[in-house]
Amino acid sequence: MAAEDLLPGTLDLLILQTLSLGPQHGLGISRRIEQITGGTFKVMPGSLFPALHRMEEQGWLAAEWGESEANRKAKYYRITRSGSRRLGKERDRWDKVALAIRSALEAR
Amino acid sequence: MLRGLFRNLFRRGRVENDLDHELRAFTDMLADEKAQSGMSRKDAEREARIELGGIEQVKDQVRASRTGAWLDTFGADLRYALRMLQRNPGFAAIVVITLALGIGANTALFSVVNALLLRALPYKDADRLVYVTEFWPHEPYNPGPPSPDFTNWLAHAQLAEQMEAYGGGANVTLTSGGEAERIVGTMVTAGLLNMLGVQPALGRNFEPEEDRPGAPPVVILGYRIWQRRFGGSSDVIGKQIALDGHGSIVVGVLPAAFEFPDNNFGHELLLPMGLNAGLGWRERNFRLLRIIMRLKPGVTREALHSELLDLLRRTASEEPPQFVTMRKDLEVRVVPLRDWLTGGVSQSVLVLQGAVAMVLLIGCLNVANLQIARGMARRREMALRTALGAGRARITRQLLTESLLLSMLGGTTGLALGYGALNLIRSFLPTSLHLADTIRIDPWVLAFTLAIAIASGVVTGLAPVLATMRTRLDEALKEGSSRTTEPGGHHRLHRALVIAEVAIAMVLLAGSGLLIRSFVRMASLDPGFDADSVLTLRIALPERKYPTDQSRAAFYSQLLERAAIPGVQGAAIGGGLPLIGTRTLTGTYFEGRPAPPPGGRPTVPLAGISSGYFATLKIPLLRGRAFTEADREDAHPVVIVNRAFADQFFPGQDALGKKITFCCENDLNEIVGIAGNVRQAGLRTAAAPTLYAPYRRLPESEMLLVLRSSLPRAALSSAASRVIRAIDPDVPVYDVATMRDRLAEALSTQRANVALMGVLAALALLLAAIGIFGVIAYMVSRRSPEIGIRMALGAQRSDVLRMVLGQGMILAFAGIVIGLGGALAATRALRTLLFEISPRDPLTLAASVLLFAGVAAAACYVPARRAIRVDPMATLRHE
Repeated sequence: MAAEDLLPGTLDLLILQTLSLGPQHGLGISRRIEQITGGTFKVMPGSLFPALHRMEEQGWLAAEWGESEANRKAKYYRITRSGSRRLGKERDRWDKVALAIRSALEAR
Repeated sequence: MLRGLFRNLFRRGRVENDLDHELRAFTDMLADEKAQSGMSRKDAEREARIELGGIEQVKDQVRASRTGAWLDTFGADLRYALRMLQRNPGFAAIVVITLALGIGANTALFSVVNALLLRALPYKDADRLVYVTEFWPHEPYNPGPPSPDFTNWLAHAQLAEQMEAYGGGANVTLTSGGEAERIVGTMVTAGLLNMLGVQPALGRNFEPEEDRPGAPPVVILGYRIWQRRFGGSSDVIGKQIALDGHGSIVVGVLPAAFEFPDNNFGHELLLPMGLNAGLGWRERNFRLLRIIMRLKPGVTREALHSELLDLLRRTASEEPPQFVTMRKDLEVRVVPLRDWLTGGVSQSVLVLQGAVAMVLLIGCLNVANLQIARGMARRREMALRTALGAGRARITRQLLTESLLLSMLGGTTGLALGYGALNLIRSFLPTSLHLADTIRIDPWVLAFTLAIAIASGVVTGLAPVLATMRTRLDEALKEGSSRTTEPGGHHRLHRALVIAEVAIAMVLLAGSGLLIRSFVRMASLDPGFDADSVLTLRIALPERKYPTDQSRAAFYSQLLERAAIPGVQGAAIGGGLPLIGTRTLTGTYFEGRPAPPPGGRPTVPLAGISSGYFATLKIPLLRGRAFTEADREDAHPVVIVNRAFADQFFPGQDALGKKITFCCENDLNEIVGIAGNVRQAGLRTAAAPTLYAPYRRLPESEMLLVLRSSLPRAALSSAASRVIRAIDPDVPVYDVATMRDRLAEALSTQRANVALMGVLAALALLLAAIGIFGVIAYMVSRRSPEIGIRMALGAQRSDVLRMVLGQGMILAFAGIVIGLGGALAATRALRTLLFEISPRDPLTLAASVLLFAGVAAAACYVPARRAIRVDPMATLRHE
């Protein structure tokens, strides 16, 4: 499933969740999301980078240049305090939505 | 957020650099990953690039997600647009000039429309002020309601909150503070200024007790006269000034910005009317008034109209019998004050506004056509941009930014042009026109200019957008050269625009043709006199000093004796003058005919004239004789009539020797001469029956001195003034003008209409010709290979010429036919501006069609010549 098919706001949630585990560069974030969703979501660069830059501007993420494992210079993103708060809110919201959808689907 | 915006806008270089590095690193790492899984380095890098999906597209998406992205894109579009214009300055200049002319003309005209028809009048609750007149359905001349009607309405009308009156006849000679000067005074009722919401700049308004018959005379000075004669000094209040030789106390000074709500009355001097409220129909000396009323809130004009008419009908029984027939079919008209003030010009102004709007529209269509042609040339550029990831919306925005940039440049230039044109337009308007001083560029006009500039930008920008939308990306890119034949869609658009242009221009051409013919008709009209080298001066004898007919006649005869200065070939005195009419109207009665019913006596203009009057003005004397010095007050009474009089009252008979009475006298006057008709009441009105009497029997207090002389005007007028001052220094001389001036003045409105419409029609014709030229030249350049092949296959040059001309003329004729239909519908709006010509005048329409066809043929001929010069050999080699 491509990122465009996600519910609105879900990509933000996945990125924040990924970065809450530690700083990561763009490719790393993309691979990580693929991995934690069991390959369900494949985030394309065309959606990933606009989202990263937007979230950085909003102050949820901070970025700095660092060295990758293969000695390549890469831009590492990490979650800020306001990003963590945001993650909490997004999580709550998601839980509510998920619960609502589930009960809607199970209602007879 | 704000930091982000700041960074995006001002640290763009670093941000962009950063993004570039980031994406490159991403691709490299992706390639590393793929290489590790066993791909060759080269394949891995290629795969990585494919997976990224185009580095520039990703960058664009990132940019679009940034704060202030729209501003950013706008900036980029604007820079790009500027670059495109720099690359093509000729195109930019043509577009800007075309739009500037159209927008400038619209700005100037709209500031007139705004001042005259839209902006609130400078009076309190002006939307409830109405102007009230009486009129006869069969007679255009309306004399103004007589004062008994006014007092009747004042006493009984319930629907008017307030009604006030004013009137003329208050022209006075001011002798304080300088030379004797004739001043246009206006009599007003005490409450008029209050009703208008006008407070004097100095002093106070009139009090009700000052507005009664016999009250001590008081006066309110106009601002300009206060400045000119009294140096703007504030101690003029309470002072006595000499008007017509007697003292009046100044009680107030009008504010500088005050405009009297009537084009025919000045605000140099206001006097209380002193109307006798008890004055009824039985008294003879009632006045004719001008009346302004304010409606009560919520009352319609129609309601007030029926109330006033009802009151008018009810007084019929009280009126003396001689008025009954005259008044029984009298009607009342209640018009908004604004209509009364602008009625004379609002039609022309609106017609002109329509015309300038059409010119702008033609200009826009032309620019749109240019844009389409240019859009075709830019198809590859657009296709390339699309291939590189620009969306349709993005390209539309780019094209609109370009055309809006052009239209804004055009708008700014147009605003400057419009500002410059304001003075020109003011000089065309009648000098007495109300509110003419308030014509200026105000925020509303600016908003209008901005709006039409934006509209022009959108209209001209959408055309190439529509044209490029039809382009198929792959075809545009495949095209090796631009010579291949193109999809037909934009050709249709191209042609439709040219046809529309021609049609609109045709409407303008026909309209201005009608105005020109009217003007020529009016200007070549025989006014009945010779206007060359005749100077006229108006003289007013102060009532006090010249109370009797004898004293006035003595003054005039002395003047005539002394006016024969060297260089003057003829001198005369007249109580009236061609073009400006007479001051007196009189009832007439014919000897040997039954007495007319009450109110049934024909009323004709009457002028007292001296013996040289006809000779000086070169008005032909058709039969009989002119007056002589022997025709005195005590002699055998004689009159001269004009031809219209003889034809109307003595049809098929000889008027000469017949006897008539006029005015109130009972002695019979013998008709001793029949003079030629002159256009007495302006050029538009045919000569009415007119009576002339010897001036000694009718020495009016205001008369005109008429001098025929080849002396220079200034020398003649100062010599004449010296003569008059030598007889009596207290007699003012004013309204000095040659008969040529007066003729020009009578033609001025027509001339203004013709000049402005002519310029606009010429502009429209030129623009339409450019449009035809453009589309045909474009067609020829596109089809030159085809033409070459045709010629190689044996087509003659004449065939090619016929083909190209035919293509152009089909467009032109389609436009002309549609335009002719439009003209027949639209010229109806011109009817009131025309003079003795039908709005469907076939000659004018035919001439317009021929002119247009000629211009269109010329516009096609130039590109057609280029087409026949196509060298078939060159074409074949090329193919």
